[in-house]
Amino acid sequence: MNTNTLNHLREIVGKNNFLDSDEDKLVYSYDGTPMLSHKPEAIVLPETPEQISKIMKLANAENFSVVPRGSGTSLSGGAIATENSIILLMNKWNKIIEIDEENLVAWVQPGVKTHDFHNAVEEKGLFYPPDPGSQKICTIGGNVAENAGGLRGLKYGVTRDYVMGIEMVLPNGDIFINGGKNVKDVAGYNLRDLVVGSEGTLGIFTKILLKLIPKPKASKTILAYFDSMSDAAKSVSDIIANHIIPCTMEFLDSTTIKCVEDFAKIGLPLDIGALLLLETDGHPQQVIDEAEIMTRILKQNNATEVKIAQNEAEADKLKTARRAAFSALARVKPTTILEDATVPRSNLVALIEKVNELAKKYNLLVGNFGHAGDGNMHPTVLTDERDKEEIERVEKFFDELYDETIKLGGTITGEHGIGLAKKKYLSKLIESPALKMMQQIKRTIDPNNILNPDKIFSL
Amino acid sequence: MKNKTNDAKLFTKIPVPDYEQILSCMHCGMCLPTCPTYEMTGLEINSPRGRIRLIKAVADGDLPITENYIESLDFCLDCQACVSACPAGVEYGKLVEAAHNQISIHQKENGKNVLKTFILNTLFEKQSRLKLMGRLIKFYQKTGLEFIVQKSRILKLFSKKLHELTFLSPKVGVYKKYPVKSGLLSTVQSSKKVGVVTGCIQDVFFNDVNHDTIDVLVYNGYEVVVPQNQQCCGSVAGHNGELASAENQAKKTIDQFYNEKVDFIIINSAGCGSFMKAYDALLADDTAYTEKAKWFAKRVKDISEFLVDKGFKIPDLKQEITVTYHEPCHLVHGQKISSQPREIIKALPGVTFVELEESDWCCGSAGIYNITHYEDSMILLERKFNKLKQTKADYVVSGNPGCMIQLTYGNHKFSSKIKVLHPVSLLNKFYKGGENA
Repeated sequence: MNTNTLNHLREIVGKNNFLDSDEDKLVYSYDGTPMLSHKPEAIVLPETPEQISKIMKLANAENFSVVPRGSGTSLSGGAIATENSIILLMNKWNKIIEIDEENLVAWVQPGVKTHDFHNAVEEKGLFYPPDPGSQKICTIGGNVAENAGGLRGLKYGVTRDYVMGIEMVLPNGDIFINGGKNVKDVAGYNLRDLVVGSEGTLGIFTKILLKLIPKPKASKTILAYFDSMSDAAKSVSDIIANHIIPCTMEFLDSTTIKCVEDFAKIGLPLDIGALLLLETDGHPQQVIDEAEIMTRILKQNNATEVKIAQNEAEADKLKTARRAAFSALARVKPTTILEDATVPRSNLVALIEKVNELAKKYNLLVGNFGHAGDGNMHPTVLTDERDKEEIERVEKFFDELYDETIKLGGTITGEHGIGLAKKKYLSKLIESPALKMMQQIKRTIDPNNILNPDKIFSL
Repeated sequence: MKNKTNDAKLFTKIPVPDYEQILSCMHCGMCLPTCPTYEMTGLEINSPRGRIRLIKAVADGDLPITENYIESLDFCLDCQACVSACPAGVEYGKLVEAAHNQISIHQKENGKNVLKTFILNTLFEKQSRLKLMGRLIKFYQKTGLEFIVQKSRILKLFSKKLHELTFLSPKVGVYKKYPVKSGLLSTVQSSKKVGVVTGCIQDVFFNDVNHDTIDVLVYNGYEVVVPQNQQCCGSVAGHNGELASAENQAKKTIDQFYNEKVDFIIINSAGCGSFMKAYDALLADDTAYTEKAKWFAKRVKDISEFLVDKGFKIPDLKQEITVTYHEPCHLVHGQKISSQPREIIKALPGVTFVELEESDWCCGSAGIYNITHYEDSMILLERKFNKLKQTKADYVVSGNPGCMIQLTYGNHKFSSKIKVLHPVSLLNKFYKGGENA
């Protein structure tokens, strides 16, 4: 990028909001994705939508790319700089602008951390359910861009279900708001739904309107051990067949259980095949009734042990195993590749069996855990990026796993996004006319392909 | 600048961090919300993840040791909150200490940072020098000179920071010598003979805390040995990258206790305890000391850890007071000791324990950080006092001299009257019958 352009950028945001030292470029060359990095030409911290607009116009004129970034925790490479690009850093846009208790909505800036937002609304007895694993640091802007999910997806849905309006800057520099506080609103195309999950390729969010719901009054946590994974999976479908939608139904396989016990020493039996963590929430009486039915179903399905938390402290203890799952796996080998293959719930057993079978076939260490209730698994490959031969096997493992996932009617990503990491699988899943339509939309909105180019697909 | 191979070599010479540690960082970002310097600036360069990336670049020879690199690492508090948060278990503290060592070698080659090197290598090298400084400070405080200097704000003429720093110096009390041996002599019974580390800062500024430690151990039936003329354990130098000094000090400390054949080595300062528990790693390559260092490291116990682990007598005295607890970084993150001090407080009759919000957030003391980064340190201290005021507690308890100095200074700075005590001192007040409690 030429000096003139860099100077121009510095003028737009002011010298204190412009970084281009070697060190800064290095630390903005990665996000949370393993084995991917690229250095940007500069990092800019805009303070107003108008500044962003000017940056976008400059990018079109001078032919450089703009990559938006919040906290940089993406797991698909969404926030990684591309060729000849600048990072547009939004993490300081962290104000909760308004919590409207009458309409049960809140306007927030995109840099608000998800967990901070949880705390702010829960103080008022309200609830914002999406809870991605990185909630303590990831930002609402990133959540909307990736349509993030989390543990409560089965009962409460994902980020998309809570976005009511967005203020954004288009790649051509235009600024507008789409959506609003109306519960019903069918005026024209729903543009905000188009940009939820667009992975930062269609517009830069500057303000987001989120739906809130009343916070459930009570909850009950249950932990169950199983000898066989299929009994655990059967319990999940039986519970739902009994018309109970728990807010959490988390699954850990035997590899993960062993790693958790090795790391956290919480007394998990090492000879079990699977573990389920379940939580029901809602009205106090309903919670008690549901917990009873769930316990009965778990026992009917040969659960070797069922633990029911009697208070919050006990609930917290039962959740330890699930909470430690990722940490426990991440410690085993230097490189941890966390994936998010997802299938319809009825095919969950088939997917889990496939993961085990392929792990054996390619001789890889794979822990599997995830959101059993919504079919969203996190097969996690534990490897070492320096071992080129093993990395090749990892590639083959995922190639085959995603082929099988698609055959099972599943999707290649449940909540992490395509980004750079999964581009090669997209055309296997999305039918050609649909993929063309996506590309056409991108071309129409961003004709010079300057906003987060080459993410999701290349043009 | 050195060429690529030399720089990489420089790194492997440093005892602890190996490339595995650097590679284990999967840059997930879970450390970011726990890092005080990231929270203050919102910039990746001031985050643990960012610093590890820079350390990697230097180790790979892709980045020379630059001003920005040094600034980023110096800005780090070494509070190690990121270590507790890290899913992959990266031992960030070791990486940062190694990087500091690397920087210090680099700076010496270039004749820079003379003041810090002087403080670390000269002042802490000999306890007599630190004691002399303590006496000078005491003289200064006793004669009223301090009062005049502070009230007249004369130093403000030179620098606001210098003026404020005069308040940072803790009150130096009357110095009482330690008994060489006390308590029942237990020649037969094993695991009852304990040595007490009297430290350097602790010895000069918190001589009373050392006495409380000895008294509490004696009261609980231990034979207590205090090697005389102890000096710094090496942690101040070690945490700042002066590894050669640190190793010398570690060896002297080991010898003093090794000769006494103690069953446990008790320490009441979090930073020292954290460092001494890693003596084995520090001296792993020093064949003459490898075994002795292992012997030492596995015997080191923080006083709260030791008391709760072995059990302690519950005092008879009842005192209606409200107490809260601030976690020293090198206790909670460095040694994973968090519940024990709380257990001691909660066991005291009449005490109401109030949890402090963000109790494990660094107070900004961080060794000599409050001197080298005064303004940033004060931002952290203000945050701490905002939370402390919410507790409405009479006492804040914290087992680390650095935190105690910083919190005492916070009382002056943020007009608070909360009393600052070491957990062992609180316990001893109850044992002694509550005088001054």
